Amino acid sequence: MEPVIELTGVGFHYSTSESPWKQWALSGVDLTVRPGEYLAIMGPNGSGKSTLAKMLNGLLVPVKGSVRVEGLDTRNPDAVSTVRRKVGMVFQNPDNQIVGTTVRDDIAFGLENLGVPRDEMIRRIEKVLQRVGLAGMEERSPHHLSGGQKQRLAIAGVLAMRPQVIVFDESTSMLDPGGRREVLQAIGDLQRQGTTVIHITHSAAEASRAERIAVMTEGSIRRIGSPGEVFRDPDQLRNWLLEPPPSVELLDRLRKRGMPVRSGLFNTDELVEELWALLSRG
Amino acid sequence: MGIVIQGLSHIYMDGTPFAKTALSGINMVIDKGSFAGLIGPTGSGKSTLIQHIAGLLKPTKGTVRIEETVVGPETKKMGPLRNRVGLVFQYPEHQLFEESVAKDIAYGPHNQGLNEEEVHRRVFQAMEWVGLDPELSSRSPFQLSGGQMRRAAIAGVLAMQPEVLILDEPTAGLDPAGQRELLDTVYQLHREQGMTVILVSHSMEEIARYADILFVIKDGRLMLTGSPGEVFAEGERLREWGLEIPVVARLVDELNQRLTSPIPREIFTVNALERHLWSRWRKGEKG
Repeated sequence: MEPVIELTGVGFHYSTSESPWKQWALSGVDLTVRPGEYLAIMGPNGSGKSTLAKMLNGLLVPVKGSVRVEGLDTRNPDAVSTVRRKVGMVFQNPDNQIVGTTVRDDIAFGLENLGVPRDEMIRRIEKVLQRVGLAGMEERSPHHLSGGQKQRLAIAGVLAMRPQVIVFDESTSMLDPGGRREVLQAIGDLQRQGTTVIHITHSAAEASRAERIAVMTEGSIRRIGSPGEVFRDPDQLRNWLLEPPPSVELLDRLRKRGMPVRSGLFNTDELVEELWALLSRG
Repeated sequence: MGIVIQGLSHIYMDGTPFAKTALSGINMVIDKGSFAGLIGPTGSGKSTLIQHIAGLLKPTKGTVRIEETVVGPETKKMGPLRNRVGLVFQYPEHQLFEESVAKDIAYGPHNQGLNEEEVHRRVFQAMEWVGLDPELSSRSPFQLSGGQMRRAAIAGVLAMQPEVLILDEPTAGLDPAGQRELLDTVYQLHREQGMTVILVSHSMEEIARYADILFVIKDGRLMLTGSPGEVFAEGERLREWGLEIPVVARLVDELNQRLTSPIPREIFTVNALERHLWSRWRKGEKG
């Protein structure tokens, strides 16, 4: 299948041309994202995650290499508006993404800019609010929504543009546990309904919901694979200033103490099964 | 004695049509030298509560007392309470403003009226406490990394040597290593200096790792108080309130549904569960 996003040898630095030395924020990044996949990107502060996110919809364009979205090169100025429509972004702070005075207006804003006819607009708004579970809140003021609801509104606004891909750039980090649960649920639902999801996060627990995890440090992708593969080596993760999920950490320590625990387990059911078996064997 | 809060209520814009009750009838005691965790969903009143403890808001009803300093609705001078408490706001690095790290950290102690020599001593001590290299003192705070900026901002509060340190979501936006380093530092200061710490956090793992007493608030009311073990035993209610229990506590719950002799509820960190499972397994092996 054609990749929906393809990065080839991508390098980027923020310094201007006069600057004598350049610090590469990204270097040699190759990444292929399949349509409909759920990809998480993990990395410590300053690893280039957010720079990479901005590459994906042409907010930044590579200095070296290329980024293609459904075959369109982001360096091509004529393609930029199409690329931005294909790849939507949801950011960290819910309060910075709201423009309308009601939930309905907030979504209508983006559609008006696209010149979508009124009837079509009404249909789309209804549909996207349903998809994120905000149906019935059309007249509410966004500022009176909870953090999780605000982020779901931001998702609805992006969905209304009918993107192929949605990039979540630490979109849960400012939410309380309930809000985080709501947004993670919404992300999972979107992906099941066919949207490609790229979720940038510090949290191993959140990343483990994805099908593949890419680990970035110092502007490069160090590892990419299933959660089981990426979390197999907790010591390596710690070297990268990251942490495995608590459950993986626990199993790793038990193994080091000499308990015969299988490796590569990271979901709760398997874990409980394994620990129970070990304890009841004695 | 520590911090004693009695019948605390706060109504924003009281007496106007826009009046909004943010806190109602809060009673709580935080013993001197404890490490308290404050949890609650967004909008529950956590920020309003900590601003009362820090002397930034005056109660509409009730009192806030730290040792012999009491603040109530009629209190005129908030200074004495403020001097006892250091409050680190969310994203404190946004408040850095001076031309050097040292000057920024010195701002608070200067305002306390300390002499140059003492201010200088406090600045370097605070830098040492938070693990900032003294060589960074002449650097502009804006040349520091994100994690270092946050440390510099916290050092500015610590340099005033408060008896009580309140941290509002201090690790938001830091990577896991940065989160752990920062809170380990705070925990060490708490142990060495006997500083009372109040940690506001949405991360139950963080709260579980450091706090010895928890306060749960929702809709401006105190819903639960107790040791972490006691509070995390209320998983169902916490979930209903939009909160969570730590991953390890959830794992223990699941295991307990199958085990004939359950794992104690006091176990909610990776360390504790690791020790428990290992010793249990070893006994089993020998027996």
